[in-house]
Amino acid sequence: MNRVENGKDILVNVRKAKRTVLMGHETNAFLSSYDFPIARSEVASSPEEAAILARQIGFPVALKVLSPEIIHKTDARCVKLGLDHPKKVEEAYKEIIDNARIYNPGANIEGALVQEMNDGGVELIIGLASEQTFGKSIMFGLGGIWVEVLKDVSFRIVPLSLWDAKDMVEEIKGYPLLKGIRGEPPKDLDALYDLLVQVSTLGQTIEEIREMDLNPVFANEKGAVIADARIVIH
Amino acid sequence: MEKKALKDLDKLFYPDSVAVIGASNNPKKAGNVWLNNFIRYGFQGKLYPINPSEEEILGLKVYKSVMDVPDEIDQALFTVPAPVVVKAMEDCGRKGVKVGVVHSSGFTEAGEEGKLMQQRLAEIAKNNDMRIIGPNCVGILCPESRVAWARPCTFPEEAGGVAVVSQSGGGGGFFVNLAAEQGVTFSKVISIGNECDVSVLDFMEYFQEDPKTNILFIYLEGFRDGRRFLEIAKNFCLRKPVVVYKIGRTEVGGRAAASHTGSIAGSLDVYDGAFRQAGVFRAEDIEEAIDILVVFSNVWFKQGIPQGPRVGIISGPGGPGVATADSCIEAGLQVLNFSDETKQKLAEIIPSASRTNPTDVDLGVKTREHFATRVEIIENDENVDMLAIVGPGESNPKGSMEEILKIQEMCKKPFIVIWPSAGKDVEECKEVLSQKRVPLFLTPKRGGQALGALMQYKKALDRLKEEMGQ
Repeated sequence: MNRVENGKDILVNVRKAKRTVLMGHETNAFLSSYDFPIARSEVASSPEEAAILARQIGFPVALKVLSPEIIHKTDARCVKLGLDHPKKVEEAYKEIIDNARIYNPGANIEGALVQEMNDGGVELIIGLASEQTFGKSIMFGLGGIWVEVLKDVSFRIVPLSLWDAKDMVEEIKGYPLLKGIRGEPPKDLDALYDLLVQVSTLGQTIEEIREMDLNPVFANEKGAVIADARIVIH
Repeated sequence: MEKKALKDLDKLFYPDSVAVIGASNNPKKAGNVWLNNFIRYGFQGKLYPINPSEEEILGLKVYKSVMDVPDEIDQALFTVPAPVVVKAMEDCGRKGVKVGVVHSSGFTEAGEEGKLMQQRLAEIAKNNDMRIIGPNCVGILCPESRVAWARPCTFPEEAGGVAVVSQSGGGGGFFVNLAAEQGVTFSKVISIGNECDVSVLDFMEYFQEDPKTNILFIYLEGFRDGRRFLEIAKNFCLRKPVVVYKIGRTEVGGRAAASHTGSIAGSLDVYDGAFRQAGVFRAEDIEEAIDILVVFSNVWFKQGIPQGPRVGIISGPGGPGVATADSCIEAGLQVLNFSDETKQKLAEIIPSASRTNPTDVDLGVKTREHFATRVEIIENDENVDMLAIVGPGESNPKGSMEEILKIQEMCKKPFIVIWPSAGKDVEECKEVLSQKRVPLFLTPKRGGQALGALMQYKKALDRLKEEMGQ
């Protein structure tokens, strides 16, 4: 099946289910169909399956609950990171499901996403938002728990040129981290520029997307990897 | 806007005949003030007061309606109540009036009924190939043609290169007065009102082609079509700089956002991003906006474009010189050491004075005569692209003023003057300098930022040229 068509189908299904936020595996499938650099992940529906998938993907892994009703997974304590042993994966799976039931007793729990962990790299956030005057805008900046406090971010309007992407990366205060400080090698800036333009193109071509967070994106020496994402449709 | 429609705006700025609908003998009414403004400003074209119940106003024959005027009417001004505006606009359409300027309020800003009337105006404009400015606007100021607006103000005597488009009537007038005090001269000033027909973006397209305008200033509340703004602004900035002062910065009313991005992106952030993308300056306050207009009018478009980012600083008192160096560096410029040759030449004049950059010289009587010479030496330094002349002393403002005028004559590289001190004598001297278009700034910070703006525009131009393949 045509991969891009596949992406649009995902949105259709989400809308049919009267939802506006894509679940983790839907987000991954959608982004994957548009060739976004996402971290490798698989869906598990039991602790044992999670452990098997973790072995396939390669340790360490992260585990995230899959539930249409649980959007703020970290708040719900339904995300476990750095699991480096099958037993830990199994226990983490059980814990996540228990926490999910406590957080939202009525929620449909479809399982958990087993995802490869990213090693090092600078943590960033890239986002797409809809706005009345300008249509779609793109945000770029330092990610992590500080994004809401430090707000070290830059904005541009869709469509983004490569020059715009370059400017908005250089504009943030944290730019020296990307260039490499204290002997650290520089991160792959070209990959970031390309990713920004890719997000812009997606925003331009898929009207249905209202908002999108790629958070965190890890900027590595070679390439960038999207470790988590949220897509909201109209 | 189509090319032909833009051409029609010429009749807004250069009308041969103007009708004032709602003209009045009552000096308290806009219909009197506006007509009187045209007369006082020295408008040379024909003026036709329109009022069904008057015979003569301000020495001019009054007509009952535009249909009764035996000649062509290029432009019609409206100060009658909203419903009367609509009827009179229909008459103007039939008469073949090219441009209408509507001061009257009571349209979209007043409610549903007003909105319908405003839509009607837009229709009339479209059906009759007319252009309408407003409604609910203050009008136009054009020093070249002496077209005046509806509010009382000091009319700029001289025409210059700055065009102003204001979405705030009051703010625009205030801005013009303040800027004129600093020697800014204008090509056209527009208070644009409700934009029922001609919008801010239409004026941007007009001013891009207007040979009399080399800088645009927008006093902005907001655009309707941000993406069209971006397109137009990029093309504009390739030719001429744009400065925007935006009001209405804070987000009013919460917006339910389901993502980080959605909840972080404030409306001013997004506007800022768009301005940077287009190469447009966004001024933090009115003073900064005026400073940018001054530095472009009196340095970029008058003295010339600095070839690089390196500043040579010469000051009267030492402190402000150092402060200027700080501000220049913060603005992204460079303050390098003078060359050995320069240092030697400086030493030859006054052995005891400083030879570093910034250099200071007490502008007392003794050393004053060497001031212009020192500037000349520094100007010839290969490490200097532009000069900042700082804080002439208070001891002899007139003498300092004369030195600066001398420097203006001889200086081949771009320069600005930073003159912080006040007092009546100093203010008078500064006024003379402003009138002679010496680029004057009140503080080291503002001077440094202004020079920085020149380099910023240079960079933006380079980037736009690359991006748009020119």
